[in-house]
Amino acid sequence: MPQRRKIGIFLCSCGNTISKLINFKETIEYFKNFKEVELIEENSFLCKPETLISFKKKIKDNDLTEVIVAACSPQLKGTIFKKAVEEAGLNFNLLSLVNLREQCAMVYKEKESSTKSAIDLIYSALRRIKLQQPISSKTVRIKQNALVIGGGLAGLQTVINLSKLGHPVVLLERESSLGGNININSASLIKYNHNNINLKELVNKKIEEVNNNSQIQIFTQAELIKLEGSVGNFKATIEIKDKDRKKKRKNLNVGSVVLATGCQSYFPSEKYGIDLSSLVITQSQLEKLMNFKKAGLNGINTICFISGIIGDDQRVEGDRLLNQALILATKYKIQVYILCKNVYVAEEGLEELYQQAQEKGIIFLKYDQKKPEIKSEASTDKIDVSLYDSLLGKDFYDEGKELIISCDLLVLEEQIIPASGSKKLSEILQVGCDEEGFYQQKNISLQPVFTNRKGILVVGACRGLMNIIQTLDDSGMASLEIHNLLKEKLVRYNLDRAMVDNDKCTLCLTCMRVCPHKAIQLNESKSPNQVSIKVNDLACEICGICVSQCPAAAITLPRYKNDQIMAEIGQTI
Amino acid sequence: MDSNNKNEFIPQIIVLCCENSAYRAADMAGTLKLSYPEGIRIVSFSCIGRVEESHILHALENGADGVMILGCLEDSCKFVDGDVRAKKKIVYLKKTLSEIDIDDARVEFYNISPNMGAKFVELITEMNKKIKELGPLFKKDIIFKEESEFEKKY
Repeated sequence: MPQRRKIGIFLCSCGNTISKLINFKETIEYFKNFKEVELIEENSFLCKPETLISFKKKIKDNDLTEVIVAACSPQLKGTIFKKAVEEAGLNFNLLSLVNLREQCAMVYKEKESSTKSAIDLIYSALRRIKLQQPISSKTVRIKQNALVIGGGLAGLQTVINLSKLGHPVVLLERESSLGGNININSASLIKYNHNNINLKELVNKKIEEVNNNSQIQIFTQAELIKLEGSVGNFKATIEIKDKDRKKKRKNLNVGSVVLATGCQSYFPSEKYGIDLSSLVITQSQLEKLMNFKKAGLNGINTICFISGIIGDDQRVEGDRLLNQALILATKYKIQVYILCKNVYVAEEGLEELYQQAQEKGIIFLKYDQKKPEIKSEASTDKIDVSLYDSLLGKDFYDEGKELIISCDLLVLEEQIIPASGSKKLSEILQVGCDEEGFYQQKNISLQPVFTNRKGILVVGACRGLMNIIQTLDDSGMASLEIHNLLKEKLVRYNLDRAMVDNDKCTLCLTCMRVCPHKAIQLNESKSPNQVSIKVNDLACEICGICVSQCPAAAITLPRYKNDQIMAEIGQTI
Repeated sequence: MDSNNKNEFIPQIIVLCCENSAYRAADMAGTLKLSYPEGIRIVSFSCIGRVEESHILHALENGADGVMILGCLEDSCKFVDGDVRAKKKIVYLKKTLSEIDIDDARVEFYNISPNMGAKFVELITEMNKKIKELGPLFKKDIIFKEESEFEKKY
């Protein structure tokens, strides 16, 4: 025979804040006669440690089976009451919190209506709690190591941080040497003047540190080709090319994966409508010329940049452009013109760079809708660019005059896009990306380094345009998040995740498709009768989207079961 | 109307909230001591994507005159696309409701963020006004009958 239900209702007056707005006497009177209500009483400051002790004692003494606490918002003191109830020997799911302060007492003008609402709220909690069952917990063993993909600055810094936090790390790099973009671009150019950081020195120091660390395993010329499992126990397959260009596969078990695949510069020729030639070059070609010391730019006196055609977000592109222009003006004594729509200085240090550029005699010219055009013929060794400068005023152009800049070299601005192969990697990892291919799908302000999958993090320029300081910050943040996830060998969690009833399941795979965290996987086995859907408990974040989408109603969420919700919605007074 | 207060129609509105955004907005409204009309009950969900059509229909069957579904702002759902999924369901449900001669304005979906306490109050007041014009969904005596059956069940 089941045990008789004994529900205790604890009302908190919150030091007269709630009780002056709600008639507690009437409320107590209403619920006193319910046969399952064993105890109903008013307390002041239920969250105080002294009151909590008597609260726990009352639960034990009266042998309560369920507890309802009607106090402030569960968002504020919910955890305190949950802890207290567990200490009193009850399961945390047998506690129901009614939001009597924020959502009842404070919002109604009249005492009568707030009392009515309070009774309504407690009554619906009462209906719901009868259907709530205790939730047990489970312990699993997890792997504590991490796999970092990409050996650029972001990857190197993450690897160093993680090994300092005591996690063994595996570093994958698809090129033959570490360093990322530093091997392609001339490093002396990307000297971030305003931060006084020499990138090449910085990266070389990091590479040395990584090479000397025995906790770090490095695979060069290696790529990730398959990833299975979920957070705490990923099974990664990597492909390594050895010296004879033979491919070798290797399996790794890791607890977490960090993406630091970085970015590349890309020339969107379709947006410009200008053909490249020896006089018209891109920014990376200019960097190459500048790399040959003075010889590359011999005989060039004026250089013209065109910027702003790609898009408005020029935080990092602007940095690169201004740095190049400044080096040309100071080191090579070249007259530089920059044709732009707007100069964006929305980044630390950019304003200073812009001022420096003006002091050094770099000329900024503004154009609006009309793109600058090339006027001169192909055979000449000078190139003429005409533009419509709206600041000059209409009269200037009405008189038939033209603004033409004659220069020796025309440099077109490049776009920064995610590194090649990042789309393929996102498919392997089932990580979402935005239209441009950057891995940032979650809220950029709330969860910056997270992806939709738990245990897979993104760091550095592969999640958006980023400068050096931001990249270093990012890897610090990601390392701490990974440490948070994997710091203990045994992880304890509550079994309130989505649960699949395999008898009801028809294997339509809707849940697999719908799950935003890819926590639901197909449990394949050799005999076709044993194929089943499995929810990875650690990866599940308890949103319940799969529950509402399942056509067979085979999935349940223990804390948000259908009958519980229906009971709470119940009937209105 | 004022002289006969007891017979005045109070719209019963069930507000289904995402616990990460709209529920906090409701808390914020309370903290700011903004007031809204009576007859509101807030039910929280782990994500607004958990809401099913049957929950809304259940609410309408059992005495609610209107149902509001409040999810996160677009592109800021903690679970990537919970708000989009809920919105789709509501659009579908509205069509069904108008087919059975229930005004589809009784069910409404809105996007809200945790710091929009004032907006929450604004939406509730607006909904309350709208439902007041539409009148009660069912006659009262039907509800009383169902109430007693419901109590037997639980």
